[in-house]
Amino acid sequence: MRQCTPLDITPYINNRGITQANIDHHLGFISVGGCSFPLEEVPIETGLICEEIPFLFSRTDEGDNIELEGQTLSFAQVLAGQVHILGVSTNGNFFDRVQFFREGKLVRVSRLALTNFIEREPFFPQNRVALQFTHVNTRVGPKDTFKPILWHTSLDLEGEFSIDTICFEDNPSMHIFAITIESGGND
Amino acid sequence: MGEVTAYVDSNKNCFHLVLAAILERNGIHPDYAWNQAGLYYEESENHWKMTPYFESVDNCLRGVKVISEKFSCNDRLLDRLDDLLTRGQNVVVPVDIYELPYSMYYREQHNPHSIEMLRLEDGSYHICDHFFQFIGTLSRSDLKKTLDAYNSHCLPDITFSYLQISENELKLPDIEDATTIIKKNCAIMEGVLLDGMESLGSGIYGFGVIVRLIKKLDEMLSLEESAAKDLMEEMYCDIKEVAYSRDNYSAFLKRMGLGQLTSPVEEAAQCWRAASNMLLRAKVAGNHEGMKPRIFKRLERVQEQERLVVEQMENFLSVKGK
Repeated sequence: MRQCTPLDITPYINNRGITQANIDHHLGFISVGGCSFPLEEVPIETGLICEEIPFLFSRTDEGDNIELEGQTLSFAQVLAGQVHILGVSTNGNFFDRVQFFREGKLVRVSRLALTNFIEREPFFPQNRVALQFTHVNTRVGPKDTFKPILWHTSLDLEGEFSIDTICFEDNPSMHIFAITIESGGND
Repeated sequence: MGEVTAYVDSNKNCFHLVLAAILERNGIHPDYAWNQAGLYYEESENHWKMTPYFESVDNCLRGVKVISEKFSCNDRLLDRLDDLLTRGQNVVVPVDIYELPYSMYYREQHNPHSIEMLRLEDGSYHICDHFFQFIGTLSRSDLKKTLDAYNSHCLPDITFSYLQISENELKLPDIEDATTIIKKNCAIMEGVLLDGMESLGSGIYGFGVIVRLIKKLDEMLSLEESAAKDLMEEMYCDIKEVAYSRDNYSAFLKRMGLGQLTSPVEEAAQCWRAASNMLLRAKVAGNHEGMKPRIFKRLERVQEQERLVVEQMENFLSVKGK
């Protein structure tokens, strides 16, 4: 039976990528130029269902996403066949290695590829549109010259494995807003 | 001319974006034009030069010429620009983003930038800023302001460019041209130039540049933040350009039906790009000492990947030569 487990990424949040115009738009830092997504267009409270996969967002004083700097995410052991991620790259289209562990042992290595949030089409074919915004917040206020996209991607672990840890590489141009682990998808 | 759309490509600088857009509009795929992936570095007392390119871009496409004209007076530049636009010639003009009203950096930050001038209508210029994906108008006075700002904050002289495409002479690269390009890129990386390749100067070529770059960044990131800021910005642009060259080389190889060679090239591009963004992040957010080991680790990955690229290409060339 298909089971989806959204991860709580709150302890790992280290970047602000969602802001409100005229309130904290100047604090957005998803790109070093100071861009961010408009809060009113992100279903922070209810979460988002994308291709029947439920995602949970987090928002703390530190921000709302994980800027990758080699973090190790630990959680209760869960069966995983697919790992679904909502995220973006900034200032380029990036891919990097992701490692999955159980009790300290490497179980699987995969590649996370995320398209730049300013692109109109997915640079990586496995990326799909999760949310497209009507504008982007910048340090000087909202701009609608481009409509940024939050991308949805799925890492296929090629089999089902119990995992309790995910290790990302040090690549601060990649940002993750939500992670959901799926098992039983092929039942 | 039909409706113009912004040319979006994360692997080109703003100047190359405009050239690529014009090529595409003329039915020439831009992948053919950007295929140089070398590496050269030289340093004089207070300045360095680092580039992946060793030939002019238009050398890669027979029948296409980039024509550049230099001006020390902006009124003369505008007269010549009007003349070219009236004749239907689109022009790439360098500007300072500080004076572009539609830019998110308007009156915030000085930086050189390139835009495409499309046509002149009712005293206003129709422009396409491919990088910021803006298509609209710029008044003559706004254009004059941004050119003057470019003179004051970027370069004292302004050089604008346009493409001349001769349909009779146009010839896209074939597999033999691609093989020559691969040989040249390998030669530059190994620091042994082939017959007919021009020396770029007395600096360092290829793998040795990466070792020198780590030392240079170590020095740069040890400076006071205020003193390092402009140097970091310049170095960020240089490293990013190297990353672009690798991504474009990969796109070229795919276009030439050599997609089996691209994996290490793409990995190298990613590592260069990640290193450049780390440097930019250090510049914007501070914490230079904290970023040093992260940048150096990434550049060590660059070194490994660049060696894999040359190894793979040389294997290909030796098999092809049999």
